[in-house]
Order: sequence, then structure tokens, then C-alpha cells
Amino acid sequence: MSGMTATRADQAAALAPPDATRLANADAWVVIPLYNEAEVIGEVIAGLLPDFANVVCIDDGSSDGGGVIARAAGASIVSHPINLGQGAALQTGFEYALERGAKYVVTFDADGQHRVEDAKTMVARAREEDLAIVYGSRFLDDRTKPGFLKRIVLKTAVAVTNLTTRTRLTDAHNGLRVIRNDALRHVKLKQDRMAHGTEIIVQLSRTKLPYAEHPVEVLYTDYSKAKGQSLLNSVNILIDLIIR
Amino acid sequence: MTVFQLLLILGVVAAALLVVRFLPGDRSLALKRIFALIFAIAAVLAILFPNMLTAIAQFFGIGRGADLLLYVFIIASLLFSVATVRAKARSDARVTELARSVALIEARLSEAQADDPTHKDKDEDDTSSKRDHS
Repeated sequence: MSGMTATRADQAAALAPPDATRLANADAWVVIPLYNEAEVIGEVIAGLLPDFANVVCIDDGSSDGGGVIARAAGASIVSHPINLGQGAALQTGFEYALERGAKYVVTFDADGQHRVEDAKTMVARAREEDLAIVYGSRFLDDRTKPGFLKRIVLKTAVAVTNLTTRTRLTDAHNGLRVIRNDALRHVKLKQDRMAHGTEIIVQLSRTKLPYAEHPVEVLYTDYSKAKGQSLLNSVNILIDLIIR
Repeated sequence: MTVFQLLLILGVVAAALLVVRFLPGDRSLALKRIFALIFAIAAVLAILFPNMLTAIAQFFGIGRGADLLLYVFIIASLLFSVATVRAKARSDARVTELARSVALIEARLSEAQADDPTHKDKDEDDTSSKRDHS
């Protein structure tokens, strides 16, 4: 969107799209697993609402009052009575959204790493190309710059996932996905914690529904880097997948 | 019978009783109880006739009865550990289902309350005839 001259017509056009997108996405639900992101969740939701009217935060037992902030920001809230894990929070979100007639569900991170722009384009692409699943990928272009070690870990995860599923993805653990309701009905995440990333790909690949990967940019802000999924967790993920 | 043998027998009988009374499950319960009984009988026999254990061990090519006992114990221990880890995983899954159920019910409830225009404040006087608790 850079390099656009601000003519009157452009200005008028710039004002119109948000509402139009919001209306177009009335059948879409954004599902955000929330665990102790009180600092940024307000911003994240405020950033989504202009384009997505339906946002639900699954508060997975946060102790920092993030749930209240999210609700005040305009999102629907479902609160787990105890902390269960990101996978469990996503599954709860899926059931919630399907119950409310969602046609498209967008999984979105609470820590501000994902861009609303990418979510928008992915939903639009799913509609246009009649796709049941759109996976965001950090490695389709060079915009995202993960650290060296992280890169190795992610590539390994991709290799393992590709071995065990029928999909050939470039980014196996990206939290930004668009899933249509027909595919979502076949998803029943049993991995409560971080191994859900691979589990969801396995279950979706079994549906044999059309999917695509879409380039996204992940913002490694200082905040999110400080909280990021530690590399040690990768060990947990691998073990979780083996000892089911 | 020595004092030590008596103590061991009492210990085995007590453990068997505990197992028989407090083990959860239905079909597997009967099997577990049978095994516990067999084990208790075998243990008592082994305590009363220590040479029997040595005889069995030598039949299997193991030097001493105590060694045989150790090997059997190690295997039983490993089986128990695996069974326990899997049981915990199943139990965790049930807890997740339960917690999710509660969360979704609570969400539906609060949304229904938010939608109901006649129900403004929970602390309001409950004499309004329009109040509808559907």
C-alpha cells in the first residue's frame, strides 16, 4: 500500500474498505487463544475489529486479567476454568465458532506477532479460490527473519510434519491459519499443549480438501521475542507426538 | 517359621487386600484381583519355601532365587510405569473435556443474559414480572 498518491478518490476509497470487509467477513470468526498477554491483547483486538466483526478470545486461565481487557476491547470471551494449553484453547474456540455458524475460522496469535493484513488476504483468497484451508507460511518469502537456531528447529519440524502427513508445507508451526467449516468439523484436537500444530495439519490433511500456503510476515517484536516459545519446548513437542 | 517370614507374609497379604479393595476399573478389575491373589499366594509360598524360588530360578538358568525375583520385579515395575503414564494421559483428556464443557456453558449463559433486555442487573429487586429465566 506504499507509494499511493492521496487523491480525493483514493481518500474516499481508503475510508470505504474497512466496513465493506467487515460485512464481507460476517461469516468469519477469529479465534485467539489467550494466556497472559494482557499487555498487548487490547491492541491486537482493536486491530482486528475493523475487518472482522466476530472475534473470540479463549482465556486459558490467564492470571493477568487479560480476559477482562479482551472483553472490554470488544471480543467475545470464553474462559477455561483451569489452564489447559494452546491446543485445548484452539479446540474450544473451534467448537464455539462452529456453534455460532462460522463459515471461516481464522486462528490468530494473541501476542501481536500476526498481521491483520495477512489474515484478511488469506480469508479473501480462501473465498476466491474455494479453498478449505489456507496455511500461513513464514518461509515463502524473505520478509520474516527468525533467528538462526529457531530457523533450524522450524525446518526440522516441517520435515517431520511432511513425513507424517500428506501435505508438503514450508512452515509447520505457524499460528495463522484460515479453516473453512467443512474442514473444521473433522478437527478434534487432543494435543492440549504445543504439539497441536502438527496434529491439526494431520487431521486437516485427512479431509483431502483443497488447501494452499500463503506468505505471511511474522513480527518478532521485542515483546514477543521475550515470551517466545522456547527452543526447549521443541523437545516437548516431539515427545508429545510420539507418546500419544 | 521365622519372624522375618511372618512379617513378609503379613506385608504381602496387606498389599493384596489394598489392591483388591482400592483398584478402580470394571473388567480389568477382576483380572487385576485375580493376579493380585495369585501373586499373594505365590509370594507366601516363596516366603515359606525359599528353596522353591531358587529351584525355579535354576530352571531358567538364573543363579539365585533372589535374582529371579529382581528381574520379575523390574519388568513388573516397567509395566506399571507405562500403564500409569497412559492412565494419566487418559485422565488429563477427560479433565480437558470437562473444563471445556464448563467454559462453553458459561459463555452461552453470559451471552444469553447479555441478550436478554429485561435482565439488566443481577442485584436488582426480583419482583419484576417481566423477568424471564429461560
